Amino acid sequence: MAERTAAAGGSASAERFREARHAGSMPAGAEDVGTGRAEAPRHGDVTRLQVRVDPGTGIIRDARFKAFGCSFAIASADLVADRVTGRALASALEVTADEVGAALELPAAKWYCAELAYDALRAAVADYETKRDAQIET
Amino acid sequence: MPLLPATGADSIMVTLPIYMDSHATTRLDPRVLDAMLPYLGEHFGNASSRTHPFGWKAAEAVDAARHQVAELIGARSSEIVFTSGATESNNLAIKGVIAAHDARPCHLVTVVTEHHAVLDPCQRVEAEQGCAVTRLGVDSDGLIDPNELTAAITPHTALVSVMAANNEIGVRQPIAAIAEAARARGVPVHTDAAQAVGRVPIDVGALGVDLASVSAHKMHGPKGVGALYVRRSRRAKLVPIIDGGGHEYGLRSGTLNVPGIVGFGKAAALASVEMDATVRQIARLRDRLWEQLRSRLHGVQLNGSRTHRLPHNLNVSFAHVDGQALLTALDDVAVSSGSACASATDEPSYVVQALGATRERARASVRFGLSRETTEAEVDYVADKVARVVMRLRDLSPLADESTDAGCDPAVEEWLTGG
Repeated sequence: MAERTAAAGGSASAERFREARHAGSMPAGAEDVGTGRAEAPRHGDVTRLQVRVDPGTGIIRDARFKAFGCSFAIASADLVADRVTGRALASALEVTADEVGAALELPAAKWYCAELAYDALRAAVADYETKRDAQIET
Repeated sequence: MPLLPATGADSIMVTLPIYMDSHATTRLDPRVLDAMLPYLGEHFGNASSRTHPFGWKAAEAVDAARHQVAELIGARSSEIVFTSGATESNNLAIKGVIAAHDARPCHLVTVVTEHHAVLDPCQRVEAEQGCAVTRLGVDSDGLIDPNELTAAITPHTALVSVMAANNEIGVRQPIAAIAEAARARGVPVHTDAAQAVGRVPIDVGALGVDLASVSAHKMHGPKGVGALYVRRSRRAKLVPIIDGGGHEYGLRSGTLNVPGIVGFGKAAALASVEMDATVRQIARLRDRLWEQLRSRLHGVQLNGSRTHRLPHNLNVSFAHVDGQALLTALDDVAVSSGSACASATDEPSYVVQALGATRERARASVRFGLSRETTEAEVDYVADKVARVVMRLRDLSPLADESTDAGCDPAVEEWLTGG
């Protein structure tokens, strides 16, 4: 086993990973829940992100993730979930991968973990919007 | 919820953090340190200074250490060449033999699961000296087939290099059978025994090898010192890779690291006396760790042979868990992982993959390295903590979610077997 270059140790991301507070899931079928899933095929990582939106105000009331991957992937998903909670759905995607990567001080080789979390969020927002629009039409 | 809520296990009496990474290095034995200290102080002489007492004192200490190291592996003192460690010993053995081999074409045989300190020198002689390299595969237990080795040897084969014990999965290759097969064809045999010497009985005579690499810091000695055993009778032709003052029978120039060599000797002497007792104790603790992990977790698989294995090694894959995540969660336990995220490379453990395992199983592999200092309380603490972290990480995993049928989990078994 080669020396560790991407050790998480006592870094910001390790802290976030160990103290992850947004792990979990919500019923994907619920009308007010948007579910997104993203994969990094080269690495085998999978992140699922869910948002529960208040239909009246359009505010994200809760966000939950599940992630298979290294500590950086899990920390990224948790931070994204944390940052979008309490935000308006319309501005949720302003939480960028770069912002997450910088906040967690991700090594360059692990930047894709932040992108994975962001991709899952984008998919979750899209899923919610599709559901909402379908409801309006009916 | 925090990743790992505190439970009763934290009250077990152990000193944290716990070191269970003895394949990386081992703690310097205090008795070794005591032996070394005078040679870092008053006895500072150069062992090559033949004309005054300062040099004599150093040379005497080196001679004694050479004897201690030789005794541990059943060699003669004159067959021990001190080096900076097993990496240098491997380089000297491989590059030295190939450089001395005048005939072309030239060929050498090694194994895919070797340490980089063997694979990389092989790659270099292949690229720069036009020496063809055969890299034998291993079976699902991590073992090579000696028949395959015999078949690989050609009239041009200059060297066979097979490790005594693997640094990740602890698998012990059948070196005696390998050496017998190679010797029958007149081919010298090198073994990287860095992980084995001082931890299990190794006798170079019984093994029948010509060259063997040894490291001090894997057996509670100091870092920066090792040796290459070079058989005297029917000695393999060897060209030095470091030229200079002609030290070490002309095979390795450079002022001797006297304190390091003294510490190496002391560590070897301690191993000679204490190994038999500690091997059994360590194996019992290792088995205890394995049994506890297996009884508390499903989706757990041993990597490498159960029986042809170092007594202090356990290498396990935990389904649906990334090894690096597990290591990061285990903030007070030092272990290693085959996850790419835990290493300098972008690829999970090539050793575990060589067993026929999937990349997922390789990235889920965790290596536990016990030592003679490991206690039962430490094993219990580590087993409990690992079990809880694995369950928590599986709880976090969308894969476990998507594939689990509440309780029974055929997907995990399929995942582990690479189905």
